[in-house]
Amino acid sequence: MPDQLFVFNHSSYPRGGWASVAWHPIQARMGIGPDEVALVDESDLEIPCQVDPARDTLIFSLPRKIEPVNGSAPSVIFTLRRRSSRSQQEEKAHYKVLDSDPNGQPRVVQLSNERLAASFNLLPSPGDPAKNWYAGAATSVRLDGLEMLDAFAAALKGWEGHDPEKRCMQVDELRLELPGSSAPTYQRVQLFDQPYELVSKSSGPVRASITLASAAFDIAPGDPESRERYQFYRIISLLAGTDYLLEELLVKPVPAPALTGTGAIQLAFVPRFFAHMDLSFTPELHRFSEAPEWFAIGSRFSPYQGYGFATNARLGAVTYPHLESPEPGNQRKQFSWKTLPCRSATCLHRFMRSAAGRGRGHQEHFDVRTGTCFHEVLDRPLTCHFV
Amino acid sequence: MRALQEFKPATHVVEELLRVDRFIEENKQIILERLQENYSGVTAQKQAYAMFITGSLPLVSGIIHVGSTADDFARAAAWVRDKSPKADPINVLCHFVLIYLVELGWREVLESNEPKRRTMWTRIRKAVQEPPVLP
Repeated sequence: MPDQLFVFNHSSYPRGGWASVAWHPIQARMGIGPDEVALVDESDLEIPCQVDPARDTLIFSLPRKIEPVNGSAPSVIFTLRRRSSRSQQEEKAHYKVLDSDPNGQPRVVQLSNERLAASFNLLPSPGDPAKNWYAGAATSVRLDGLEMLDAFAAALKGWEGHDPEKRCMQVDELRLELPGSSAPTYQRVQLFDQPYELVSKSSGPVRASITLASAAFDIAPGDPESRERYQFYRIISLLAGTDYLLEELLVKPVPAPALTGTGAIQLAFVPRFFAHMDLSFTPELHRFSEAPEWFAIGSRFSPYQGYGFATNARLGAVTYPHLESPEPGNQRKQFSWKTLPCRSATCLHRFMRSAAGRGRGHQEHFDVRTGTCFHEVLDRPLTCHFV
Repeated sequence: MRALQEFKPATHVVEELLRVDRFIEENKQIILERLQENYSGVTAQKQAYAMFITGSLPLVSGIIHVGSTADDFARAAAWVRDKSPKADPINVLCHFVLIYLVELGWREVLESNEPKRRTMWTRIRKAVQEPPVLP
């Protein structure tokens, strides 16, 4: 019997997307290395796939929509093979260092595919030491060539004259629930002014990703003898052809064990995300009580830029406008939000353009697109079994 | 859109409500170049006028958001709602700014010795004077 992957679509409609499966059982049975695997469909056409050994994952993109599962039968079956030594897949999700320090350590890194390019600052200050609040932020996100963080300035002046404060996807603060306390106690960790370390990176035909680790911070539950050091990890991924970034959030003791599971996680935490994006004078925020996992916000002005966030950890407070901002003119551009307490979280950041106007519920509107993305990626992802 | 004809001229919106006239003057060259590029890019196509206006809206939005303020925009939007409660202030204000820009561009070439540009701006001017084509 050939080595096969059974793929299941748990949605109620035909859909495409991507799926992943544990790599080590495949490797163990087939006796092949990560660079030797090939995946083909029933017509013997090759399916883009990629092995990420650090995450023990084989991930692949569906070449077309597949039908919903019918009973226990899979929606589609693919066959695994040993790759011919001469054939190579085209890289479609890229990682790139945009700026390094004199020692060669990356300061700004970029993930990109054919639609989306996002640049992340690892250091708090991109240049001016007095402005030390950019750590871990995406300071440029371009969708189909348009800068999404300052789309109006970009529409007017191209690459010049952007708001230097623009950024998004920044976890500016963590609230930790301390272990070993009889009553819950909390500790805040400020992250926006602390450097991140690039722990690993990858790119390939399906996915590019970076793993960032925050500066270590002390946890002090009261007893100085029990002081422990932790780090906050962000594994940020971009898949080929998508207009969203995925990230997994973890808090782990120092030194960190392998990032392959959640067994070592001890602390519950609440990340606070921050964004400074120009989504018009009158952005519309879409958040619904019956959908506590996501929100969307967007502009009704052309070029109709929008942003959607979804998480499997559920949303906490979403704050807009950001009245904390010392600069009144920035309040309308800034928003922040939290998840509920979690021990790990997977989050999705979607960048969109939609001219659907006030058409809430329209298939192309910010709210529906974010909700659909939550459903397909986080709530009911395609599943895959190696048989 | 008929209600628009009762509105004060676009200059009122641009100069007294949104107060982006100085910003437009300071960036006149790049703005007019962008409008010309937009028109040149669609002129050979069907629905060219509508495409020109749709294609120019990001530029207009950029002028409003970079050149105006939230307070001035709110005042301008209130003015639109007062004049025509059923009109969408965003569409109306963008349209008036575009009319202002095109008038500016047309006047720039009116006295020039560039017949091709005069013809182009005359056509552009005609395009924006023939609503409704707003999204």
